[in-house]
Amino acid sequence: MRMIAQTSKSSMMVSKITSFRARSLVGIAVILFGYLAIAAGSVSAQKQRQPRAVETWRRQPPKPDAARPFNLPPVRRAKLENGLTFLLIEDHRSPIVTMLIGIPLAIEPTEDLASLTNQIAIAEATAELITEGAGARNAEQVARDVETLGGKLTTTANDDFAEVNVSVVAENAERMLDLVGDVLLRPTFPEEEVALYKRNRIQNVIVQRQDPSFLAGEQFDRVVYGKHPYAISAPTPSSIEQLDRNKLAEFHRSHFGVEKSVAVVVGDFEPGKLERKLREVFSQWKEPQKLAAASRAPAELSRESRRQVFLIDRPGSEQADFRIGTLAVRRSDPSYFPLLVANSILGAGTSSRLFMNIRERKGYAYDVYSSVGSLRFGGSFYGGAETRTEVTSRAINEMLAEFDRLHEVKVGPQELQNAKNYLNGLFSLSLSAQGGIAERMVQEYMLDLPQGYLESYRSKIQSVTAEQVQEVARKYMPTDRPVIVVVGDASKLASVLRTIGQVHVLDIEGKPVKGT
Amino acid sequence: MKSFSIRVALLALLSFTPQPTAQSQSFKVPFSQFSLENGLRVVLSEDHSAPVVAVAVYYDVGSRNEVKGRTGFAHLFEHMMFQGSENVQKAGHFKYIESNGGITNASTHADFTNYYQFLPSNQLDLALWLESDRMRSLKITMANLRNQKDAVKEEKRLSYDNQAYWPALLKMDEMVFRNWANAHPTIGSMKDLDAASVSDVSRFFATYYAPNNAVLVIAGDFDSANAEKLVRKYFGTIPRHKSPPPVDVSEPFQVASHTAEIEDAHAQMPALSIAWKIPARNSPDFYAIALLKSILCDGQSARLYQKLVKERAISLEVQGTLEERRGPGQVAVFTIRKPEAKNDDILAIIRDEIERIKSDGVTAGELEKVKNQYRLDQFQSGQEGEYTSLQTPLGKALALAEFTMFDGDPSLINTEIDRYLSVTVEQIRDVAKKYFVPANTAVLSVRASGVQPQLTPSQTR
Repeated sequence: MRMIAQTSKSSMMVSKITSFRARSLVGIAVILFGYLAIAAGSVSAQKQRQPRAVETWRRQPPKPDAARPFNLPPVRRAKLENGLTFLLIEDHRSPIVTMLIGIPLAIEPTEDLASLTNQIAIAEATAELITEGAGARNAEQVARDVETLGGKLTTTANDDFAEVNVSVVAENAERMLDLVGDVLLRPTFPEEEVALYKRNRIQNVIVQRQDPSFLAGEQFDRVVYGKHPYAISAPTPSSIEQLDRNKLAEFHRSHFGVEKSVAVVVGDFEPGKLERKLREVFSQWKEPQKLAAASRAPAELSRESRRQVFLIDRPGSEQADFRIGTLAVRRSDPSYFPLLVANSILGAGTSSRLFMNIRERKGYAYDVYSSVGSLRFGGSFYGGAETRTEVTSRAINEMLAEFDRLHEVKVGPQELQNAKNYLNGLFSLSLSAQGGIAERMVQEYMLDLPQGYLESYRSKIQSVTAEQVQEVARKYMPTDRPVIVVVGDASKLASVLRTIGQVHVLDIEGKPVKGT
Repeated sequence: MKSFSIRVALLALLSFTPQPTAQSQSFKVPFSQFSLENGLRVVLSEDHSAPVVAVAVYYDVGSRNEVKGRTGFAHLFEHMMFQGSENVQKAGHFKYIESNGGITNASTHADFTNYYQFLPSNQLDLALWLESDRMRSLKITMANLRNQKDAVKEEKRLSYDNQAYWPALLKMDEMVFRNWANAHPTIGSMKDLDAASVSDVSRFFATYYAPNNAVLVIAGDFDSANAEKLVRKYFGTIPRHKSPPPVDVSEPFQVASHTAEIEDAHAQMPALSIAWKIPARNSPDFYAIALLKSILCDGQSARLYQKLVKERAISLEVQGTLEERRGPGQVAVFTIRKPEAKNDDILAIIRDEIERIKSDGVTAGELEKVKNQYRLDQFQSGQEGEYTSLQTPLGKALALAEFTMFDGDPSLINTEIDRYLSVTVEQIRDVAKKYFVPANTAVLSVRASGVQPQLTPSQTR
C-alpha cells in the first residue's frame, strides 16, 4: 500500500495526488465532535429523465437500516499526586499507541506587540527545542532512539498550549515513555542547537510566507485579534534574535507546569503496566503551573465607518486568496454550537451553500469554505476561497450574499437537520483513529470545557434551532463591516476591490505599502 | 514511588469493544472476495468495532492512459463523476452522503482513480446505490463540463501554479521519465483542459468506467452475506464493456535529462531536487530502495538530515519522496537550500553518502530503525493521514482495493509489510549500486526569484 512519507518539521508535503477536494476529514475533524443518530433517508432525489424500463427501483434512494448506536470509548481518568491528569483509552484495533500531552501556556497580556511577539517566540522555541537534547542524550540521540523504537515524537506550541505528540509501535510504548519523560522534564537546550534553531527559524518564516494561505490567515488574525496574542502567527526576526538558552530554560521551568497539564494515551496497551509506567515517569514532574496574570478575551473590533479590505500584495500571484469574517466566540461559549451548525450550512463540506454556489454553479473556485476557529479565550469566523484574479470581486460579493441569505431567511428544517447529521457523522468517523480520539480529549482540558463536554456534544448539536442559527449568522457573519483580507497581485486587484470597501495595500509582512 | 488514583470516571460503555490483551504482532485484516459475471471484482472486510462503513471503487485508469493533447483529462473526468447520473442530480452525491453523516472524495493518480465514501454503517445501501448509478449511467452535459473545467483550472492554480516548488516537482517528472505516458503531469495543462469536449468525456466513460475495469471494496460494520446480495442487486446488471486498450509504461534505464534549472517566481528560498528512476512498486528491488530512501531522508536521525540540516547547516529542510507506481517510478531528495550555500556542496554530500552506502553498507541499527518506522507508518500515513491508514475501515478499504487491482491479491494487506521487513543490508547495497548511478540521476535546481524581504535584526512590527 502507498504510505506517504512524512518528514517531521517539514513545511511541505510532497505527494502527487490530485484530489477532488483538498480539505479532508483530517482537517475538519479537529474542530468537530459529536454524534447522535443518523436521520432516515430523508433527502429526495430529483428525477432527471425517463428511467430505463427495468430497474425503476433505482429512482429513489434506498431506505437506511436502523442506525446502530455510537458510543464513546470507555475512558479511565485519574490524577497523579502532583496534579497531572491522565486519561487511558484502550483501543486494540491497531498495534500502536498514540499519546498526546497538553501543557497550558500563559502569555502575559500587554498592549505592546513587540513584547507579545517576544513571548511567543520564546514559547514556540522552547516547545520545539525540548527534543534537541534531553537528559543524557544529545539531539541526534533523541531522534535516533525515538525512531529506533518505531516511534514519532513532535512537540509544538499553539495559541493556547504546548503539545507533545507521540506515536509508537505497541510493544515499545513503555520505553517510549522514558524518552518522553526526558524530553518533557529534562531538556538541556544545548547552545549550538539554539543557535541553529535561530538561524533556521528566521528563514523558515520566509518559507511560510511563500504560501498565500499562510499570508491570508496571518493578516486576518492580525486584524481580528488586534493586540491579543492570537494576533501573532509568526515571530519577527528580532524576536528570534533575542533568544538564548537561558531564556528557554527559564521559560521551560516557569511555564511547563504540571497541575493543569493532561496526558492522554490511546491504543493497544495493557492498562495496568502502562499506568505504572506513566506514574513512574511523570511523578518526577514537580514544576508548579504558572497562571497568566490576567488571561483575557480579545478586544472588540473598532467600528469602522466603511468596510475595510486588507490587500496583501503578492506580485505575479496566479489567484486571489480571500477571507471574510470577524471576531466570534471562545470554545466554551454557548453560541459555539449554533455557530458550528450555521457554519456547516454555509460552508462546511461539499454540499454547503458556498460550495454549491461559488464552485458548482459559478466555477469561481476549486475550494470554497467557511470555518469556525474557537480557542480558549476567543475565536473567529471566516469564509474563504481561492479564485482567479478577474472574478475576485464577484466571488466576494457572492459570499457576502450567502451571509446575507442566512440573516434574512430562516433555514428550513430539512437543511438544518442535514447539517446536524453531517456534524455528528464527522464526529463518529473521526473517532475511528487514535489521534482523533486523543486530540478531542486534550481539547476538553486545554480549552476550559466543562467535564462531560464530549458526552453532551451531540445533544448540543441536536438542540440548535433555526432561530439560533439566524441569530449567530447576523452576529458573526457580518456583511456591513466584516474584515476582508485578500492576498494577490495588487496591481490587478486594488482598483476593483475599492468597489467593496476601503483598500489598504500591504506587503507580505503586513506593512503598509507607500503610495497606496 | 507514591501515587494514587483520585477519581476514575467512565464515559459510555458499549460497542467500542476493546479486546482483553495487547496483540501487537498479530494484526490481520480479514476479507473475502468474489467477482460478478460482468467482471467487477469485489472484496468484503467485516469490522464491527464501530458502526461505520467504507465503500471504495477503484477504476484502472489514470493519467498514464491519457492521449497527447488531453493531459489532465483523467482528473477532469473524475470531477464529472460528481455531476449526476440517471437517478442522482448534479452534486447530489455530496448531498446524500454528507446529509447522512458521511464523507466522500476521489483522487486521480498516474495509474489509478479512486472514489470513496465513509459513512454510518446503516447507510451502506445508499453508497452502493450512488456508486452503481454513476457507473451505469453517468450524465454528461456541456454546462457541467464547462463548470468543472473552471473548477479544475482553479485547482491547478491553487495546488500547483500558485505554490512555490510545485512547478519544479512537475518538471522533475519530465526529467526522469522518457515515456510520455509517465512523464506528463496528472493535473494537465490549461490548453488541454480547454480542449476537452463532451464527446471525449463520453468516450472515456465508455472505455474505462466499466465493471470489468473496476474493483469494489466494502470494509466496516456489515454482514458479508447481505452485502454480497446488495452488490449483486446494484452492480449485477451493469454490462461488461470491451477491455480497455493496454498502456505501455516501459522505460529505458536512463533518465530523460540529467540537469536543469528552473526559475520559481513564488519561491524566496532556493531549492534543489535530485531524482532517480526506479522499478515498479512490487518488484523485488523496490522494497530495498524504499528503505534506502528512508535511511537517507526520513526522520531527524536520517543521514541527510544530520549532514545537511545539522552538521553542515546548508539546507533548511530535507525531504525524501518515493513515488510508488505500477510501472517505473522515482525516488527523490528535495531540499530547501540556504541562500548562502552552494548547490555543489549539497550534491557532493548526497553523493558521498550514497557512495559510502555502496562501499560500507548501512548499519544494522539503521536498518532496524527504518523497519520499525515502516511498521508504524502502516497505521499513520495513509493518502490523507491517519484516517486513511490501516487504523480505519476507510484505510483498509483503500489498501484492499489497491492490492486487488494492482496485484490481484488482497491478502497483501497483511503480508506486504514482510517484504519491507525482510530486506537485508546486502540488498540495500545492491540497489544503491544499481540505481544510484550518474546515468540514472536527474538534478534540478530551483532559482528563487520571488520578492526577497529584507532581513535586518532591527526589524520589528
